[in-house]
Amino acid sequence: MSVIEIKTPAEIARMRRAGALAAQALAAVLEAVAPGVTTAALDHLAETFIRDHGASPSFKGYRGFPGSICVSVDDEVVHGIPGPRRLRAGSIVSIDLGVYLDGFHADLARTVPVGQVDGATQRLLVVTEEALAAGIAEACARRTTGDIGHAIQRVVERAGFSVVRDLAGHGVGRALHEGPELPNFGAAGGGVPLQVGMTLAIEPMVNAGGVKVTVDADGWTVRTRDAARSAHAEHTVAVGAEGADVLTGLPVAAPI
Amino acid sequence: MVEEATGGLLGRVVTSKAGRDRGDRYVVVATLGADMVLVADGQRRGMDRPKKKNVKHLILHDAAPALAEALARGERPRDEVIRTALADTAGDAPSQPTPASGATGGAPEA
Repeated sequence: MSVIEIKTPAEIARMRRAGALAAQALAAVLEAVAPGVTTAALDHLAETFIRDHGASPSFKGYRGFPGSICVSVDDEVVHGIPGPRRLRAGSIVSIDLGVYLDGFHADLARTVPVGQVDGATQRLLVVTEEALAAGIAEACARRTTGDIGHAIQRVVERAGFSVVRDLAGHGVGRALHEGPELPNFGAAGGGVPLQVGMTLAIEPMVNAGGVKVTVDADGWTVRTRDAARSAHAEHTVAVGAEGADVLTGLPVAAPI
Repeated sequence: MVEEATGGLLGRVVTSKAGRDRGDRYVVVATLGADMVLVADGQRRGMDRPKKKNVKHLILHDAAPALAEALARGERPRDEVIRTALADTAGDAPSQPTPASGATGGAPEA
């Protein structure tokens, strides 16, 4: 199992700098999302932005991942590889982005519409953000990883959607993936107790249809088995005594 | 970027679907990378000699909640606890999505 690293306030301050840059990079990418834009163009934009600010993209080369960001469209859940494909109006696109700055990673993601989307899809996006917020609200002392998963699962399933089980959030810090593992479902009070100074990437993946997912032949792209759409949202947070400290807050709310 | 939920396998009851032990039931007691796990049944395969299996060669059932929690904390369960968990956990059907009201069941990290 991955080791859980407790961060000092000084280390959290460094992660916040990585997080702020990641949020700005994501905002720049989301602004560029439009019909006709290739996913490779978004990747190039992100990488340029991150490197121009003296950091490096966390994902590039991670376990061999070829892109700087993950771009996952419609029924793709996560880990879509950027390429020549063009975004189409009515689609949804998830951008997952990590920044490595001054020895620490910050990881965040958002799913947005490309042009106009139908009401059901819009609801999927909203519920995914609500699920993330519900999970973040549990990321404080005297709670557990199970409390986070339970809160996310409750929001998602009450809305009639399903949470992906085969993939999970994780600790993040000096390594992109640290302990503890953060399933997006579970029993309240279960799992690992949270401690002040843990830094977590909380990231619900919400399927409009069933829970099952498959991995493409590229070894990365995870998509829903039933081809229903899937959305993903993520923040890196520090566990605090009274509440979570979001380290990847967007400077301004991007539209969804 | 999302992590493969291999740790979520901890404490899951599984049935071997490939190998000489096909049909035998175990509990996942450790994960080794993305695809491999160590499984034990508390008898022929105790905690002192868990068996390495590829996840692809296992049918996954629900988790034994108490065992999953202990394993997630890094504790080493006694063989007796594994035997009890296998006896108590239905393992004849792959786990299904948990309904909204049933959030207490089958949570690997719980």
